[in-house]
Amino acid sequence: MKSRWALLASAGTAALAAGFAGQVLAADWTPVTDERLLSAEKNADDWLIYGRSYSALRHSPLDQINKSNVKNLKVKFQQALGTIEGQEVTPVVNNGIMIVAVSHERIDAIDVTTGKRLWRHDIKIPNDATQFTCCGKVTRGASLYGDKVYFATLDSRLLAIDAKDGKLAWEKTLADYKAGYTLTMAPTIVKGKVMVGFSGGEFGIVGQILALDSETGNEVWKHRTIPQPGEPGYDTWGKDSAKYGGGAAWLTASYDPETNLTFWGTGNPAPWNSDMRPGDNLYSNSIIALDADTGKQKWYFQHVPNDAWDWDSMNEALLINAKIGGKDTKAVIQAHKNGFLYTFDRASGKCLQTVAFAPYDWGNLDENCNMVVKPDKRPGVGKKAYFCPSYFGGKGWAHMAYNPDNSTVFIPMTDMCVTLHHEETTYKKGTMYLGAGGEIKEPGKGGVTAVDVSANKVKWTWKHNSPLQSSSAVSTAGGLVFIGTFEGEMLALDQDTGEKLWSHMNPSGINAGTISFSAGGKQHIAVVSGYGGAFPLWAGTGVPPHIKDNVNPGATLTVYALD
Amino acid sequence: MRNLFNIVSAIAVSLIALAAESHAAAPNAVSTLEKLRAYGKITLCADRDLLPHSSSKMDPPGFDVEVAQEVAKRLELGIDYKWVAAFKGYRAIRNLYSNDCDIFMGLPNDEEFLEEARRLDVTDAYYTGGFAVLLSKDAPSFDLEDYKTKGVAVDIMTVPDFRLHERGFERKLYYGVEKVIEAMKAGEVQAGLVPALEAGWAAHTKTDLGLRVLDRTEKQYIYPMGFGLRKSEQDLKAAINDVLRNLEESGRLSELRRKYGVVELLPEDGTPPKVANQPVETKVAEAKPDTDSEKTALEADFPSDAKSLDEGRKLYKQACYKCHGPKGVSGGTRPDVRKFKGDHYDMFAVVQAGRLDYGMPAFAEYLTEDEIKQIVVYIKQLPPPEDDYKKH
Ligand code: HEC
Repeated sequence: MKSRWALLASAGTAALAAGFAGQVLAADWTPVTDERLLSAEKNADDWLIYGRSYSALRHSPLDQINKSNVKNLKVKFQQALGTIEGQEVTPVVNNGIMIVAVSHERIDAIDVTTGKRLWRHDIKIPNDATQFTCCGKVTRGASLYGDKVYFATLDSRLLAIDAKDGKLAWEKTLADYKAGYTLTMAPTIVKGKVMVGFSGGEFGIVGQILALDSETGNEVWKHRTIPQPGEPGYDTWGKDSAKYGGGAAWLTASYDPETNLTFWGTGNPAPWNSDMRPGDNLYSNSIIALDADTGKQKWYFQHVPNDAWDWDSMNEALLINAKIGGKDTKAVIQAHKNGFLYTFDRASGKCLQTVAFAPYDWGNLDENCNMVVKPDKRPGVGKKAYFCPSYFGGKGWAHMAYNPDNSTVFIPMTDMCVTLHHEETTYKKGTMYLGAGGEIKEPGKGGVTAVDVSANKVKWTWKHNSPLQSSSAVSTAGGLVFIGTFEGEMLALDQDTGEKLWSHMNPSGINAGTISFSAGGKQHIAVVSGYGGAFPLWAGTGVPPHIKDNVNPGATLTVYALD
Repeated sequence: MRNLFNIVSAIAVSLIALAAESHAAAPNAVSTLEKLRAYGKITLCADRDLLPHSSSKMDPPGFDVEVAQEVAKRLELGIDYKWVAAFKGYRAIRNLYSNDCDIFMGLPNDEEFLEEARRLDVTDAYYTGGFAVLLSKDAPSFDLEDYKTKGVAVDIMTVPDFRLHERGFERKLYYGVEKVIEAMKAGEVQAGLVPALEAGWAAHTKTDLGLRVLDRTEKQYIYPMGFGLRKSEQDLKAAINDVLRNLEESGRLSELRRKYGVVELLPEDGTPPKVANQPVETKVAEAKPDTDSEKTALEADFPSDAKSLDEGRKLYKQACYKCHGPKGVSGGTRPDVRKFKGDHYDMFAVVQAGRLDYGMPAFAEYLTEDEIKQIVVYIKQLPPPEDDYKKH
């Protein structure tokens, strides 16, 4: 006869297998295989990739929480994460274990059903690292592959951490952070290659994307976003300006298995003073498609030649299959700082259509998607120009979400204008390479804009009295869009109307990525609050007074579910 | 201009800040030494980069720091450093008054000084400092009088600046001993009357220049230099005096003096310098602030002309903007620099040394002192936060 102990043990195993476990063990880590990554879009339970799937749609097929019951959504648990640094993370979830990177300070593995911490990895970065970065100790998260968690540090190291116990497997130094090369993105991992792009466009770096072997950290390929002498495009950089040309590709890329292409957005050319770099400045402010195996550039589109506004094209590229102009199309959509949503053909890079999603006043796009700027909207040396959107963009880095069922993309939007002028500057190591000064006189506003991509039309805008500058949306099959605000309000909007159906106040402002996943048979919504990042640092009087007066920093993980 | 003797200059020292802070010192219930022992450490305020006095790089630590280390060791205390911009004498007073530290080295044990700094006291001397005659390699005479018309280099706003003026000397004014030495190198001047410690250090380290420092000087330029501390902490003073006597007897002090090329100044008439050892009666009213001279002194250290301001504005953008916001307007996650509680000198010190553990970088490596001053001047003239959301 079985002892009572044996009985208990087998019951426990059964529960685990059925996914109703009372407790998860880190040792039960399910390997994150290529197969699971490639099919992530269909896998409703997990959130394995930064953008949820390689296509970066941030759309969850879960519909347990829907328009009619969302009013019953409750906090399941909250956990203070122990820092006042700004939180821009999108946590990832693998079979009930959440991996959350807390601002270059630590990575926690958390049992999503109980909130219990399974392990903690303390990240040590030099205490002068924040000197060489624009926006504080921010990270957008860790990425998963096999049995490891990969994390890119501010001081430009790649950490490979054992997902079962949180111990460091190895680390590799990738660049000199004191020259402004820093890492804030969650790595893109494809077929055993861990890809990272450096931040540092405000410090005169030369944009670089590295692919590293996931086992050893050895470099497989390297792609410079700014051509150097002898390379095509170098002649678009007058006055020898390619040397500190910027063009940082600082956000996680998307990946298309069919064409084997990775899609990256590149940032502003350096310095901001455009007189110091006559020419188009290729391939800054562009979307570039790189072969995943070789890093070779297959196509590019430059949204903003000779940028004078800090209108980076760093934004994420979503890979969608939709009717465009009536035809089934494999497309790429990207919302730009300049206020326009662009649709490209995925294989060729041809620009197919554009539509404005945020207030703008600078001019317009012509039929080839090229910017035609009004002369008085272009700042220069000794020439102030007032323009909208500001350098924070009509869309900042915060990610949009796309629901394939209604071909609608939900764009976090910023409505803010700036007066900017340029001035001479010199490269000075350890300080910023800007050559511009600006003032945002009116406090920023914002909202969420829904665009039907097939119709190429704005469906609705949910307006708000502060910018949704760095809070990423998630769309769900329950017909909802979840997104947080700087005030700290977690919202559920109706995908069809933009109506606010539910909200909950977090302890601090939200500038991170909201996610949705399933565990124990229940759909969950999760977000890390913690006011910070670029906006409070750079916006000055663009920060609405009600936020300055009411929002305190401090990081908290909040997980929601229905009762 | 970085030296501690401004405080005893002929111009009245401004004590605005001090008058505001003054309160009667309560008799100590627990002795200072006991308190320090409980904490385990004594805190020294010193300039982070002012050799031969002190250097946070500890390579070498500096004369003051090494003496302080010896004293702390013998008092069985550890030592904490608080790095400040000490290039003005009254900084020392400020830092001690506000309890930033327990000791501040290299203050003159001088009646005039102690009368100005009423709540401070100074221990016995660990060296005899003051102003020494510095001569270039080719200087023809050892007698300062011989340079009366040719000109004598002085550190601006220091005692010799005023005294030599009174005596009808032609003066050549420089900001700091380093500038004087540069001028000697360039052949602009052959003789100077400058802070002795710095002069000795220069002669000691820049041997190729063939500089000479005379150990004889007029009595009025000689000061016994001790540890500055709060007057209410007499037990600490007594303990340090004991240790200093010990260190002198053991030869350790002279060893350190040799290491840093300290010139022991002797008065020309052979009599020992006057020492003010007796605690001075605390008077109710502190010295009247002299706002005009305060302004002049501030302007000398932190010039606020249009060019400096513009440089400051540009540098602020390069170095500070990204954390403290455009025009100092904070968005709420980093301190608003316009609300900084402290003067130009305090801010200078914070920017130079940073607060690394709290995310404020140290800029000593990336910005020159002049650049930091320009930034400070720019920040100090920014419109106040109250005006941020006023309609323009
Ligand atoms: C990397 C971000 C960063 C940069 C760059 C930076 N600071 Fe700071 N600064 C901070 C932080 C964080 C603090 C708060 C430290 C603390 O908590 O004590 C601070 C504190 C200060 C303070 C003290 C404020 C107070 O009220 O106590 C001053 C003054 C200051 N900074 C001036 C500057 C100046 C001037 C520059 C440019 C030369 C600069 N900072 C550059 C992050 C920064």
